[in-house]
Amino acid sequence: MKKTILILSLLFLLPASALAADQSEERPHWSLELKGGIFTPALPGFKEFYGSKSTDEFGGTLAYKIIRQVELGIEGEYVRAGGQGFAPLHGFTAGHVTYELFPLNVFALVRGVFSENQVVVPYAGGGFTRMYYDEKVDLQGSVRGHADGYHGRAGLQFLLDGLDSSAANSFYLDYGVFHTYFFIEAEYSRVMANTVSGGSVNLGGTSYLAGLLFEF
Amino acid sequence: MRLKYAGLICAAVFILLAISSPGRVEATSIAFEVNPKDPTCSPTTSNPPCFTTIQAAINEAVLSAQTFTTNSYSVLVEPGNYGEAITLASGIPVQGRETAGTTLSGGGTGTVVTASNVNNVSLRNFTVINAAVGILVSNSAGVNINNNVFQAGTAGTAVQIQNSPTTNIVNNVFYQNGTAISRDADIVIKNNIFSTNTLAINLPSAFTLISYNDFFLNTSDGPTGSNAITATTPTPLGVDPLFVNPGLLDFHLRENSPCIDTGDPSILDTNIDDSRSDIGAYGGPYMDTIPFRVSQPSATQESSNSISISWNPNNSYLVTNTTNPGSYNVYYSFGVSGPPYQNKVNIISTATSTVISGLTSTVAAPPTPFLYPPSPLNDALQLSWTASAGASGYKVHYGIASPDENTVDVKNVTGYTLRGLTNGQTYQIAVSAYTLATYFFSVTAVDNTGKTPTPGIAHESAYSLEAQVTVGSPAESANSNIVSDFPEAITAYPDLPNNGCFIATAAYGYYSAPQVQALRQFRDRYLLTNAVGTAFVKWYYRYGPIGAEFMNEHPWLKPVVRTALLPAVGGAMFMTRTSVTTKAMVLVGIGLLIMSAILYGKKLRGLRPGGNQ
Repeated sequence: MKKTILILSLLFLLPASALAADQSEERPHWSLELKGGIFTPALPGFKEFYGSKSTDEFGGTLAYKIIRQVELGIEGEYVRAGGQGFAPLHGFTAGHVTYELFPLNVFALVRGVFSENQVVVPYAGGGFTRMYYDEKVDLQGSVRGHADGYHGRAGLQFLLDGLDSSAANSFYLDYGVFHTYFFIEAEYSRVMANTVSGGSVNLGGTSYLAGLLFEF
Repeated sequence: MRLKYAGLICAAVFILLAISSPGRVEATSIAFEVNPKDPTCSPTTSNPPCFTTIQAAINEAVLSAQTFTTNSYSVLVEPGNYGEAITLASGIPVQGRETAGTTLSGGGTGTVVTASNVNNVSLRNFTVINAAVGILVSNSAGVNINNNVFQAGTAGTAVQIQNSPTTNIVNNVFYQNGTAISRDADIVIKNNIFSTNTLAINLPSAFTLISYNDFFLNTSDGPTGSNAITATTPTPLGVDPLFVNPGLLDFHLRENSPCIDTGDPSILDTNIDDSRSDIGAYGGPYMDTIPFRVSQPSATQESSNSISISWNPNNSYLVTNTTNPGSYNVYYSFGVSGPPYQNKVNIISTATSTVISGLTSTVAAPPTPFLYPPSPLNDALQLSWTASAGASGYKVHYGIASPDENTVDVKNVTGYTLRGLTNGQTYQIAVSAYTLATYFFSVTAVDNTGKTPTPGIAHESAYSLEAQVTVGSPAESANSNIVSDFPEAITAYPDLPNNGCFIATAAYGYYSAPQVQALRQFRDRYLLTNAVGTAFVKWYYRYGPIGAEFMNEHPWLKPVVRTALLPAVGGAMFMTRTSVTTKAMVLVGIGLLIMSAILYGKKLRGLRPGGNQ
């Protein structure tokens, strides 16, 4: 399995190294993503306490392109849900809890881009995750902390420049934005955290996100 | 028989002709209403159609006029504050219900109303405030601006006329504008009051059509035209029009105003007394006849069955008048707020207070509510109960041994969070409902014309804000069912550890344990408020998790740590959950004990052989 992944990765990067020699200095070096979507936590009791199996997620990334096909970057996201807590001595749900997650990701990402006018660009990446959490219970304050883990994500980027070439050119001349993409992606994260009552839970989950990517 | 059939056939033919022949089409006037405050307002189900914005009504009126060419359409705007930019359309007059209460605001910038390339249109009975330009008329014909108040602001222009020489500006008030009227041609400017403007009317154009206006305290009047109101003793300041209260946007005229019956003699006040027209926004045939709203009355209980109610006077000359006074209507209802009211008393306007007696002060107790099981919270219990018909409010009764120990009047709600309790302590709780004999009052001003008054429509002001008074003692229901429960700290899901109190949390098993909460409160109140404490917390945050993890791996340590933490927990609870007096008394007590011990020790040493004594 590992061999297969290695071979596929090499095949993915091979054209990049071939093209790298032809690339001029006039290429984007940075990318900025703004995105939003839904997050389905891996917590088994999430729906029971927060009323839904999913909640909203928003985020953004900033990445540096080592070469045209490989990026290193950081990603910040925000997840929030409101629901009930648990009254341990009574043994039932009670009160109101606001549950917030702030995943901070450091990632490497590989993009299958072989032409500046390529309309559809597949990509995949992953890396380290530090998950900050904040659980606020009404009338009694917050529980805050963090846990570490990892994440992986993959998706498709759709080049928007062709929809309005003059706007794309203006965007480049005014702000230095080479390309604008619309993208969809799936992200999985696994961040194990100890619980007070013993054991551990995965604070991560699966996200389905969409957004805009600007290369500059 | 044959004659009978002939009659039948003739009747049938007559009916057929009657229903099939094209009858004469009657022209109908339809006013589209604008009333965003009315929750039933709808362009499709209201009759006539009702809209929430003025522009939507104008646009729909234009479409309807194109479809039903024999009808005439207009827009009637109910009182309210409108912040939209309005573009007038040909043939669609726009009218406010009440000049003083129908406000168009430009928010200090922009043009509020635009009439461009239109004809035969009017705008009347509005108060236009805070605008760069109140009304801009350009390339239009037959635009009539009547009975409006303009207070655009000292940097604004109230009315700007461009290439529209047939514009008529009649019976308006221009107050505190930069420029009241800017024009490029000689237009009709008649029966207006210009007060406290920087410039009333710009000069360059001819001014043969300017007449019967009052100019007062303007920095520059510009051309005043003919028949301007002038003082007996000439003065550059002009003649005070005697507005009732410009600060409240009440530009009605007071008694003895020089603008009463001094307008153009060919224009009559047909809606009030058919006399020669008044000058200003409340004169001429298009004035609204709604007196300014009376301020909220104050009402107090006079005796067990009477109430005294008073209000500020309406000083318009049509209400407060020494020879022909208007009156006030005092409306009131028992137990029900808002119109329609159950009772009305008419009082002549020379009085601004009255006593209403013979009121009911006894009421039946409302049904006993049912109290649902509480929901526990941290140091609190969340309560909810069924509503009791006719209840004015509810009381929550609670205590440790009996609900009668404490009572809280929670007003008219069916849910309440009972706070200030102690986690783990069981409380007995009940709730009761009570009813008060409450009266609701509103006052309106009625003008002296003797014409049929209708609140907020004609000859009677809109209802004032309500006053409410309670008479007699409340009638209270029996206590509800008693429920008992105890508050406790809530655990969030998942029960994640906090960055603080790691060891205590691990030792007591959960973060919301009272002991952990006491330590947390001590940290926030006493440690994080000084440098030494903050340094200790930082050190603890760095090494605490290591200890907590070690304890989780060796659970047998937890009882040992709990015992070791007892003094710290006790001290934290003492510091965070006792009053200053208690702390002081305990400290004094400890001090006394120490001193006693020292003195006793010295005494013992003195008795010992070889001692000093």
